[in-house]
Amino acid sequence: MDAKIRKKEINLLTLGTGIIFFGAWMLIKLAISVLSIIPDINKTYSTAEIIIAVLFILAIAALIFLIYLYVGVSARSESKGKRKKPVYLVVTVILILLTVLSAAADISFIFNPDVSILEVVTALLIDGTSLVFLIELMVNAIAVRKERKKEATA
Amino acid sequence: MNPDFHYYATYCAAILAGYSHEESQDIAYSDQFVDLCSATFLTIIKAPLAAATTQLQLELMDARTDIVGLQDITRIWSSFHFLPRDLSAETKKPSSKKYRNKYRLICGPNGELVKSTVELAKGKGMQAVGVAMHVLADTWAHQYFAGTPSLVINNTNHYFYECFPDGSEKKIRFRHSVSAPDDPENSIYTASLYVSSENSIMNLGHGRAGHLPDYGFIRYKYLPAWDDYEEVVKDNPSDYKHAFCQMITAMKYLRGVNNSFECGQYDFDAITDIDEDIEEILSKRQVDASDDWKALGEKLSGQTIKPFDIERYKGEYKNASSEDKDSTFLGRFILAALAQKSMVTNRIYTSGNKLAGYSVDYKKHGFRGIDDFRRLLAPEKEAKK
Repeated sequence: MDAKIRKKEINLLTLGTGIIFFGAWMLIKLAISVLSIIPDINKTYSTAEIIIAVLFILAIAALIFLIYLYVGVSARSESKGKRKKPVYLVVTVILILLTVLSAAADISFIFNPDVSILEVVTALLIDGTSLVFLIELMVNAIAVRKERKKEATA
Repeated sequence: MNPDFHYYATYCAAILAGYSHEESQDIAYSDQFVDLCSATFLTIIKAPLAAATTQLQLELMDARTDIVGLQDITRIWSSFHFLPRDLSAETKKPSSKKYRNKYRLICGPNGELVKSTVELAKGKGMQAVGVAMHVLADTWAHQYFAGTPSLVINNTNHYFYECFPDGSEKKIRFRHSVSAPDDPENSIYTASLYVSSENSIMNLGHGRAGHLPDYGFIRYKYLPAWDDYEEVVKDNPSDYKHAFCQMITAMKYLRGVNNSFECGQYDFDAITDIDEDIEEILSKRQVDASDDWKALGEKLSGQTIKPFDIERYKGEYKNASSEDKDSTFLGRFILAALAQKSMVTNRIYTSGNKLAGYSVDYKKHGFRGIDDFRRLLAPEKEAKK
């Protein structure tokens, strides 16, 4: 097997693992954000309403994590030579778009005096890194598929 | 390599090179002793610590990995177990001097330093022959790894497959339990933990590949960190056979049978009668082939080979007076080890690489540096008198 394809496969494996960790980070970040604002909203809303809201948000967070997990596990499987449908690549494109929107939202917070600049920069760095991972994953996945197709027809 | 090759196989090679049984025993003992002559042992017998040819696991755990500590580690491991193949090798892609220095320490057979190692042992006694044979043999087993702690050179990854004679392959699984024995039947072996720090002891030599380079039976392929995802196939049975035949060639030179020693020469003729025996030993899946090599050695010499005993020459050295220590068995081994370390360190240093530390050319500048090495000048002073 060519060193080129081997390099891309190992990159894909690393990126797939990284995406899973990013998904876990998203889940933890959302969970902490939600739990940290409960004391503030406790005064305005009833306990039942808060519980429903928290559960709803956590469910969304879990869904987001599962999407990241799906992309990460698919990338890892593809890197190990298993044939994968390109559905996960379509999902990756959607995640890229969402990450771009998230980064844009982070930038808009710079002009918000209520939000600390440190928070904004941190969020931007995380989103930026996540974006790089997702784009790299796309590039490597497509490259691996192309190389394998070339080898199969050769 | 393991004691099966360093002790018993070296004995066989020495017999085939024409050495007597006693001489072959001394050579084999010295060969194997290179893997055991640690600072701890030398402290016990009150011998010069600079003569250490290895570092025990416990010593490595305590070893400093600052610049001085790294130089000390590199001096030992590059001089005796991972002799660099080409101190002027160029990397495939443009790289920093720091990386190039480490790349140039990659071990391999048939480099200039192997020739220098063998020539250094000429006329110096059986102990020097044993040291040289250890270094020579290890250039075959330990090739593609460097005797300096370096993640970017010595690391391996999950891409590690055993290759079988029928063409099939099996993925090798590494675990990090030092107490669990290697399991060749299920391709499960112990290797050092992945540590992302560049200069961690875990990244010294072939730790990341476990003991695989030291097993004569195994063929495997993997991706060395320095080779940019290119696959390396390691055929240990072939390499060990080449090492064996090259040792015979080297020892014939050291005995005076041949006028010179050149790299790339292997005395395959000497093993014509025992080729099948050697093939059988090297193809048997066993982590310790001592019994088989011992049986072959005793068949060749008709004598019984004493088992290796690290205590054998301790008393002689400890009880000798200071003037007589250098003429004891261990004393001669120590001189050979100091000479080898001095030569290799000097060559690494003069190539512009400071990873093994500084080196002084005694002939040009007189004696400077670690006092232990002063005794290397004693034979020259005697000769001048």
